[in-house]
Amino acid sequence: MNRVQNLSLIGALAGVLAVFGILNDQYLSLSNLAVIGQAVTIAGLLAVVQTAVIICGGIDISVGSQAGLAAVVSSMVFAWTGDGLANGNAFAAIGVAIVVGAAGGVVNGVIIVYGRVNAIIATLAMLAAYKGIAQLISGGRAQGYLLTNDLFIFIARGSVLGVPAMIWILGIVALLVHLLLKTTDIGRNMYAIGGNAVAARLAGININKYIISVYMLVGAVAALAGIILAARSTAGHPTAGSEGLELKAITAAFLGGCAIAGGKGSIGGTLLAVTLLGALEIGLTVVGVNPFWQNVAQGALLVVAVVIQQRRTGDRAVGLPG
Amino acid sequence: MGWLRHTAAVSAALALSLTGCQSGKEETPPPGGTDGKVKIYYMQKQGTQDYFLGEAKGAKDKAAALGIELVMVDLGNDTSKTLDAINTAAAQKANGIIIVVPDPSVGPAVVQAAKDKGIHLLTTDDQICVDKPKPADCSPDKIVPRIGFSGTQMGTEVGKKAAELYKAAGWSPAETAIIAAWKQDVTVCTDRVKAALPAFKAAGGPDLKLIEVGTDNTPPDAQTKVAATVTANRAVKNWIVWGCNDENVTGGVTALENAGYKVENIIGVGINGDLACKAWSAGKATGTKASLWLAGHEVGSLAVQSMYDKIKNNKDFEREAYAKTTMVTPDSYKAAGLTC
Repeated sequence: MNRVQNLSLIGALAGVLAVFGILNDQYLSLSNLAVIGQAVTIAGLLAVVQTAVIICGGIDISVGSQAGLAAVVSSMVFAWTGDGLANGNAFAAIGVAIVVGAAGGVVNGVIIVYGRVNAIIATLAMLAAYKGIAQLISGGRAQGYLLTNDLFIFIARGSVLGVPAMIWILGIVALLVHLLLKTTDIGRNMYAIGGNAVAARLAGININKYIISVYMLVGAVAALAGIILAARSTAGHPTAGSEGLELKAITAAFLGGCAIAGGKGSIGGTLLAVTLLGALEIGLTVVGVNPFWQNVAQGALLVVAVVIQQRRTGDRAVGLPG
Repeated sequence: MGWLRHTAAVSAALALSLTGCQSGKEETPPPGGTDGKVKIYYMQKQGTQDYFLGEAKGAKDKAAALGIELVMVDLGNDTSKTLDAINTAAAQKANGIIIVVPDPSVGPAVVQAAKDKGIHLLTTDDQICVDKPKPADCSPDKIVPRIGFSGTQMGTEVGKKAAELYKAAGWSPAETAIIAAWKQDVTVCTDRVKAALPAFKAAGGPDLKLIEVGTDNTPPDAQTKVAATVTANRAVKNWIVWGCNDENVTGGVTALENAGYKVENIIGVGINGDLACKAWSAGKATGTKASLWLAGHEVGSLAVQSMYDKIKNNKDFEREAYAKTTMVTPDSYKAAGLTC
């Protein structure tokens, strides 16, 4: 099923690229493809780890706020270790933000596993809580100025072999999570937990440990996304740029073939979906489509893509879909 | 026991109809002055934005100086919460409400609620109308007294400064284009941006290609959208960037710098000064060459003083009072008092 799904996404992506390539002769240029890649990096990172958690049968709605919190934490640590605004220690800033992100993920996992709270409710609550914490510690203001540091400048603007640094970061994280899922016992156990939790438990898998660990992974990668966001924005803001990221990440994961019940999904499909959404967004901007129409077009594409996928499953069209 | 319950229910209904039942159309006498303790509610949309935080600080400082009680409320973008907050303020015996509405369409409901509760009403920043959802359609005498900035005036200052910097740069019109970036469904932003071009031309700027870019008013989105716009306009050598605020201009300027344009080929003129100030303080050369500093604290301070005068001395509000704006540059922002 994954292969069919990916083929339909590749078809849709090719269609979008072809249409905008005809409408604008610069759309398929290398520089614009880099723009598309950069535009999808932050949502892409979140979508990759969202895929991992959905495969385990969970979901994490708090990723956008976790990214916002990391943006603020990294910028504030950078400012504190420097002159109060800039010129601080970038490694300390990144390290602290990732540790805070991972800790936030553990909190999510513990609430779900030991608090016996549904993952949607738990992470919805934490979406509000992490946003509030980010606003509290920053006073609601943009913090620091990161572009005095070579590492942050490299993350925001640098490139390796002509490919922007942030796309490399997405590629590396996606490859590692893909290898984890497809080539290790850990990955096979994650699919097993999402596919049939009871059977997985009877097979001796420590489900609690896996669930808390996968939420920790989500928190750490969401923090990485937040650091990139802060570097791109020049400063860390608790909400600007991070609000709504959870919707993009979850949309991409489901469009890429994840099953809401868990046990299904692939990093390749998710990356294709996130690229499709980015190609459409940039294409509409390049050809100067009114932004109000852009929302309509994005919504319509999503509905069409999901309808095609659902109808392929051969379900009878009776009552509510299963 | 059934008869007892029925009798009790009928008695309760009768008592309610005689004492508490209202049609919702009753007239409440207008609020007057007070000799007692003054209590003011200040309700702001997006109370976590930098500008509104400054406004809140100005209001709090003034309230402390006047020795009055001030309650700040963050309405976010929630119009429904606005009416709840007014009810809460009434229950807490507030004398006055100062409000920045999340959307002007809630204006008539806000006016009615304040009138029903007998509370003085003053707006800051965004206009509201007594009987129409769009302030633009409102007759001038129906606009609620307001303290703030004029969007059109802001845009005019931006256009003027951009023209000045353009002429100083000596660029060729054929190689120059303007990017105007803003969230296009926010009226106050549209007012600013639309006023910039006529002012640019009036100040001696030539006819230039204008590209309007829709964003969500955050730096990352402005950066993405401007990056895509640049792709489609590679022939342009020099760029002028303006928008609703510093967020749009910073994002746009960053996208241009990332696309390989030198800071000498970019003229970014922001509004608010908060992000421009950071880049300037860090000593980085940036394409953001100027920003119109809006001192939010002045608006907050002036609003609290006006409300105090109304409550204590029944002094009428001015229909429209404007706070000061200052165009700042990397050389002048410190002397102007802008900190970041």
